[in-house]
Order: sequence, then structure tokens, then C-alpha cells
Amino acid sequence: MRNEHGFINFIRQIAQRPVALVSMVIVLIFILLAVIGPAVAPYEFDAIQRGEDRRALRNTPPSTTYIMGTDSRGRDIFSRLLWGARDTIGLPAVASLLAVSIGALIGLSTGYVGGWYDETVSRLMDSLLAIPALVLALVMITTIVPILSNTEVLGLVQLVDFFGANNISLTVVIVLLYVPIVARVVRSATLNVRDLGYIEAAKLRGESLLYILFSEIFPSVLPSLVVEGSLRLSYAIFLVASLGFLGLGVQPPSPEWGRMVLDARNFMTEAPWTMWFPVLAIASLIISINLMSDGMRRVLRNEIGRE
Amino acid sequence: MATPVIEARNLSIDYRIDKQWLNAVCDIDLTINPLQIHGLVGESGSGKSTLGLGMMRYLDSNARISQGEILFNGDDIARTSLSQMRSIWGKEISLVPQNPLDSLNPSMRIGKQMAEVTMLHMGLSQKEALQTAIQALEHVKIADPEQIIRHYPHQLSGGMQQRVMIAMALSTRPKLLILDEPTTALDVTTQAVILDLVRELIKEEEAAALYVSHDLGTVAQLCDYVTVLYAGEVMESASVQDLFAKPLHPYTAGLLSSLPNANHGERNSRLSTIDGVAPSLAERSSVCVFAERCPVAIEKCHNEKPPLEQTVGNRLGRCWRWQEIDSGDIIPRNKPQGFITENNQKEKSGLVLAAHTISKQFGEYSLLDRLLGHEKNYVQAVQDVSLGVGHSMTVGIVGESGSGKTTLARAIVALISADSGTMELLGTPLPVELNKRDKNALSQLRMIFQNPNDALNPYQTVETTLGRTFKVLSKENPSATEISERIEEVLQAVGLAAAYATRYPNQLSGGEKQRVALARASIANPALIIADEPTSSLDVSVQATILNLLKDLRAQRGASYVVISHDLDVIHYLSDWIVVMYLGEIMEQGSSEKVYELPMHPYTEALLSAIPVPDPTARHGHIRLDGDIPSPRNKPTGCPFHTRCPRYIGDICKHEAPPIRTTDDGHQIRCHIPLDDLAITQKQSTPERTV
Repeated sequence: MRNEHGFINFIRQIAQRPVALVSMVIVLIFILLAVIGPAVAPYEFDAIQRGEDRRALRNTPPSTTYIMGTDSRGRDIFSRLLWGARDTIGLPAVASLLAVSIGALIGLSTGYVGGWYDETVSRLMDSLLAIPALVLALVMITTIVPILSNTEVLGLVQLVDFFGANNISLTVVIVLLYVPIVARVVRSATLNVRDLGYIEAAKLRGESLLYILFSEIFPSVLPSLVVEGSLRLSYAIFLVASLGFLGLGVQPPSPEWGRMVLDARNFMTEAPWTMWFPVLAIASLIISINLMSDGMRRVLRNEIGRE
Repeated sequence: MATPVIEARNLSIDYRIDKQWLNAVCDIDLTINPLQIHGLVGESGSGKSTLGLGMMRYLDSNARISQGEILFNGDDIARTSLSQMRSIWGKEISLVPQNPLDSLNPSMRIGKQMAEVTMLHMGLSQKEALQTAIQALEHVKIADPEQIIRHYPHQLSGGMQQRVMIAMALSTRPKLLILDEPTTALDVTTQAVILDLVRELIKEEEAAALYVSHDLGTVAQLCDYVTVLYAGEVMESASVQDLFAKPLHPYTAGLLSSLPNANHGERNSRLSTIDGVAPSLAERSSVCVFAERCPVAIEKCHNEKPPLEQTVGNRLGRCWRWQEIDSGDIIPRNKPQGFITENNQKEKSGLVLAAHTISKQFGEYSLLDRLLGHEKNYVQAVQDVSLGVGHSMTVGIVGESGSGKTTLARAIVALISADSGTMELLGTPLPVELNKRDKNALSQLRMIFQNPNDALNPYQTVETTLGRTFKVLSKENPSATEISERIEEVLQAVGLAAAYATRYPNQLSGGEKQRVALARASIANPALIIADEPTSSLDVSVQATILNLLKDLRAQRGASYVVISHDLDVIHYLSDWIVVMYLGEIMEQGSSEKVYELPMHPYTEALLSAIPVPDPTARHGHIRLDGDIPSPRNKPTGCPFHTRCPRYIGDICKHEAPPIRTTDDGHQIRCHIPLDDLAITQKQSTPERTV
């Protein structure tokens, strides 16, 4: 990433690692589905499929018409997965993007400025890190959702109406959980470069704090930020799916995958496929993202090692 | 002749890089006889460390011996298994590494580490082994070895750690000692003591040694026989006297004449240089590897590889033209191009920079310390230093590590804020804090950093870096064409083609990076440039070009310089005025000539006599300082130098700060000994100095 062909070079090196390449392709397919899923899905996500006798086709096994079968209410699982990709991937993506941006800002500034500011903010971040993720998420959601639903604050009302109280609180939880982690990674990357000659040279020509943070330091932090960001995405997807399984995630009627697993749980023995496919989708997505970010990390580390 | 201790024949070592084997050292014949210290010199990338470690089969996992044999004790150890090597390593061949702290186990006491070696190889009991360790430490002149064996490595200074490594290496009475740049990490006064010790011990133990170094000075001081490596091949091999008296290879000649003291104090002349850069592993040519950079290369050199052949006497050389060099028909080095005419603004009155009683303390006093009621633990890095820099003048600040020279430089440019003291730049007060300095002050006072590798942002082209600096520091808003014209102009001034503007730092060599750093410092026409160790991380041949450039730039532009270095030769070559610092205080300052004359401060005297002179026939200075530099945390009272001073005169040194004694021409010496007495005693005891 250190000359104008950095990006092409980066892709070329990823291509030399089969595992990273395959997982990157899988991730891209999932992202594509999140965008175009509803358009290509054979049925609506809530359309109940009926046989010739007009009775709902409950828990039918996979067939050529319904390649993943139907669920307990007779809805096509394949269509539901396609529709659900948007909520399953989209919300965590937005939330982790927010977390990465805020975390990067905090990490850059604490790492570079140091002193009391760093001490205070970093200790605060550490204390957030000490709380178990799922516990914090459960407590936050059960407290924030009622507050948001009953809010009368102008602006917030419209926001809640538009996005839904549950989605907003999920986003807040993810941001709160992941900002400290991203901030810590960025801070340590910043500490590695803050005393180097080129940063001091920038100080000595009187550059502003913002210029030094974003034009001088940020490019060298970017590789670790990209890797950390993709990891955060996978954990966020996992968290949202877990919360969905617990009934606290994205609320129905949205066919979010974790929620689908929850709904399928009661029919695990009689119609196991209703559970298999959403589980498989979640697992393959998360494993792919992890393998992809691992590959990216190795490539980027090599680049830096070659300096 | 006695049977050699170790002998390499046609030895080649390869590295596997990017899925292919690249040749690092090629076709080496190397013989070390008993009692001989064999020097292996070369610049970075020459393969000297690879060869040195390869002689004992101590190679990285991606390296292999691709051909040749290494005869040791009659066996070919290039072919023996690594498990067999384990009984040779540490017992018959020992290694003294470059960085002792990396090689000592930080969690194990010194005594136990040393005992392990003798217990393993000589079958001693733990008690006997500890006894041997104590004797070995006594041997390397460590005072109070019974105490030292109970210490952990980090509790010892660098010099002491290296003594421990040497004691450990010698404790099994090895036949061969391999020293891989053993003094590179040490200060010059400590280095002098360690080298004396190594030479003495090797002769005493009747061992042999292979000394790997980039420093021609230490090789001349220590070795009996020298092999010069370049791009993985032997260029020349000769006894130390012959080689330094008359190098027969253009590379050796070039190296020797590029040293800053090579022209014997002719400070107005340029140094001769070796043009170009050494080829990387992948670029090694099948003709003469040095032809590209050789000042006397002829067509044959570019077509055919010269063989390593016997030249004069027992010497070996790899050059087509050695006869002509030997007869003196050709001079195998770049002639320095004329004298430097000074752009003399020295008559201009007033000072560019005046600093008065600058002091700086460092101390960690965290919240935790405060809560626990710990006392403040401060280090006085710089104490009451005053400094004046005139127009078109170069002031050199010299001192060993911990002398506060870098702290002083950083306080002047305000990368750290001085605790007390005042500064004036071109007659106007200069605030000690960076954010209080205006654009004019910033553009008049620029800095060059020590390490060229991190001085440039790896994500910005040369053009971006230079352009931004010019734009930010210019008084008027320059237009885009003005900026690019100016960039071209400064690149030309530092000897780089305009095409370099679009390069990224990873496309530049170390010397080129330092040129760009110089261009960046001078692009806004500063009045003063502070250069912190500008050449310490460069090879000697590159160092010469940068030193020439610094002199040229000063001559052309008339800016003043403050140059900081641990290397007295560099300082002497560059400076008009020399400041000698020790533990944060100025011990002596005066014009460049005066500081080298008698009388001088005892510390300066010791520094000068510790410099390894690249001339084996020179009588070396005899003054060696005991012990190491005290920690600035526990700075000695009175005269800070009294704990090591060879001219210590009594309690007065211990209790009273010495007075500043000034001669008529402004030469200042801080010492209790009156100047006349100093001159007399130094004249009696100092041998002819060759500097």
C-alpha cells in the first residue's frame, strides 16, 4: 500500500492466498445478496406458500420448488434468507462502520496527544471493555428500547419512527461495545509512529493537530484499521444474530437469520432443515469474514516487513 | 606455517527470498591461523555477517550453504549435522554477538547463565561452574565478580554486558572466537576498552578470532589480517599493515579515503566518495561486482569477472588493474572535486542563535507514584547550557550517549520545551514552546533527523513532502508552479534528479533519503539547520557524500548549522566551533582547531585517544577511561567527570563544580586544573596524535 499501485498490488497478493481469496469472494457474494436479495428472491419473505388444497405448506423438506424447504408457517426459507440478508448484514455493517469511525478518532487522538487526555479516555475505554458483551447488550436493550419507544424528545421521535427503537438500540450497543476495541488498536498503531521523524518534521513546520492526525498518521494506521474493521463486522453480525436468537434482535416481521433460528428451534427434530440453512448462512459468512481479515492481515504485515 | 584453525574453501551461502535462492556470499576462501585476529570488513549488505556466522554454521532458517567446505579440526563442518554442531558451538567456536542484551536471558542471573555453558561443555558441577564464572569475569576485568554473578542482565551497562558475553565465550577455552560487530552498540570510550581487552585475551588464550565489522578504524586497531568483502565477494585480503598502507583494490582505496579524517584535518577540501549504491542480492552481476561504482573501471571490468589472485607478496586481490594501482600509474579513487569556497558571511555581526542557560529535566511522576508517595525521580538531561551560533558557522556538539546533546537539539527546535533558559533567533526572542513560535521562527530554524528511514512519511512522495513544507513555511502563498520550480531547485542542490520528485521513500536508498531530508530542511531558506547525527546510520561511503553535501550547501546558501554527533571525526571535519558535552553539561568549547590542541579538557583528551584510527602503524592514544558513564539519574557531584577522570586531583573535583577557564580566543575549559598545568601534563603524556 505504499505506492500508487498499492491497491492493485494488495489484491494481487490476496489472490496468491487461496483461502483468503475464496473467503473474500464468499463475503462479496453475501454483500451482493444483501443489496439485491429482495429483487432476486422467488417469493416475498412473508408469503405463505400453499398447496393445491389452499392449505399452507408447513415444514416441507427441500425440493425443486422450495430449494431450502419451507418453515413452520409455510414460508419459503430461501426467500426469507435472501430478504433477511439485508438486516443481518446491513445493521451490523452500519453499526461497525460507526464504531470504526469513532474508535479511529479516539485512538488517533489519545495515541498522539497523550497525557491526561489519554489517561482519562483510555481508562474509560478499559472499563467498558471489562463488561461482558452479551450481558451489556441484554441490559442495554431491555432498558433503552422502552425509553426510546416512549420518548417525546423532538427529533428523536422521528428517528425512532423511521428506524425503529430496536434497531437504534442495537446500533448503540454495538458502537458502545466496539469503539473501545477499535480505539485500542488504533491507539497502539498511532503510538508506533507518533515519535518518528516525519511526524516531528510536520510538527516543526507548524502543522495543525488535525493535519498531523489525518494526513500524516492516518495512512499508516489504515492497514490495521481495515483488518480490525472487518473483524468487528463479523463479531457484530454474530452479536446481532445471537440477540435475534434470544428474541432481542431485529424484530419480526424482518426475517433476520438469528430470529429464523429461534423460530426453527421448536421444530428441530421434525424439520431440521428449517434450522440448518440460516445456521449455515451465519456460520459461513462469519468464518469467511474471519479468514478474509486474517489473509489481509498477513498481506499487510508482509508489505510493512518489506520496507 | 601452522595448520589453520579454520579454513573455508569455495564457500557460497544462499538465502531463500520470495521463493528463489539468491546468492549472498560467493566462492569465499578464508583461512584463519592460530593466534590470528582476522578482520572481515564491508558495508551493509556486503554479506560480512552472513559469512561470519556461516563459518560456524549459525545461519537463519532460510539460508543454506550451497557449495564449498569449511574445515575445522580436520572435519568439514559444512556437512556435519546440526546436532554435531551443538557440541562445537560454545565449546570450540564461540560467538560474541552485536547486541549483548538480546543474547543474554533477561530472566536468568549472570552467574547461572555463565555456569550453564561450562556445565554443558566441560561437565563441571554447578559449584565449580560458578567458580569458573567468577574467574572468567575477573579475567575480563570486571570488578567485584562475586556481586555481578547475582545480577540480572538489565542491571548491567552495555559495556559490562559485552564483557560478560566475552567472558562467557572464552570460558570454555574455544579455539575460535567469532565477534560480530561487538562494539557497534557501545560508546567510543567503552569500545576502546573492550577492543583492548579482546586483543589481550585472545593472545593470552592462544585462540584465534574472526572479527566482523564495518568500522575500518577498529579493524586497524584490532586485527592482524583483513579481508574486504563487497557484494558477497572477497575484494582484497592482506595483512593489516599492507592493506592500510597501500590498498590495491579500488573499493578498499575508496573506503579508506572516504573517512572524514582521511584528509588529515584539511577541512576545506571535500572527501572523496564512492558513487552509486551496492547491488542488492538479486542484482549481482556476473562481471566485476564493483565495476559499476569503480572510478577506474575499464571495458574489461564490465565484461569479465576478475579472479581472486595473488598480488604483491601474500596478498590476494580481485581486480584486473592491480598492477597499475601498485605501480602508481592510476589512482583508484574519485578525486575530491576541488576546495570548498566559503560563502563568507562570518563578518556579519550578531548571532543566528543565542541560547542562555538552557536546562531540561525528565521525570516520570505518574498518578500511581503520587498515590504511593514515591519521591519524584528526575533526570537532569541538560543543565545550564549556553550556546551561540554565528552567521555561516557550523557548531558541532559531541558527546557520548547520555551527554544530553540530542536533548539540547530538541530543546532548541522546541520538540521538547526547555524548563528554563532563554533563546534568541536572529536577535529576536525565541519562545521555548513550539506552539508559541511564529511562522518566521519555524521557517528560519529547521531540523534534520537521525534516522533517514523514518524521517520521511512512507505514504507521501518526495514532491508531496517538499511541496507541503515549502507551502506551509513560505511567507507569501506560492503558486503551484512556484512550488514545483522550488522543488526542482532544491533537489538539484542536494544532487538528486528532478525525476526523484515522484518517488516514494521506499524507492530511495538511505543516502538518498537523507538528501531529501536535507532538501526538506533547506527548502524555505532557513537561517539555521540543526542536524542530529545526520550520518550515523549510513555506510562510510555514503556518509562521505552527505558530509560533502552539508559543506557545499553551507558554502552556497550561507545557512548556519548545529551538527550533533558522537563521532569526533565527523564533528571535526564539519565544524568551526566544537562543543564537548558530558552528562548534560558543556565541558569544553572552542574553535575546531583549538579543541584539538593542548590544553584540552581531560574528557576531550580521553575521547580523542579512544577514537580508533584507520592506520595500524599509528600510536594509539593510551588513555582509557575506567567504568561506564554514570547514569544521569545519579549524577556525580562537583565535576560530573570526576568519577572517570584520569587527571583527578582530589576532593575538590568531588565537591566543587569546576570553574570555566577561558583563553584569549574564547576557548573554554571547565576544569579545576589550571590551563597551564593541563597543557604541561598533557604534553608529557600524549603521544603524537595522528588526527
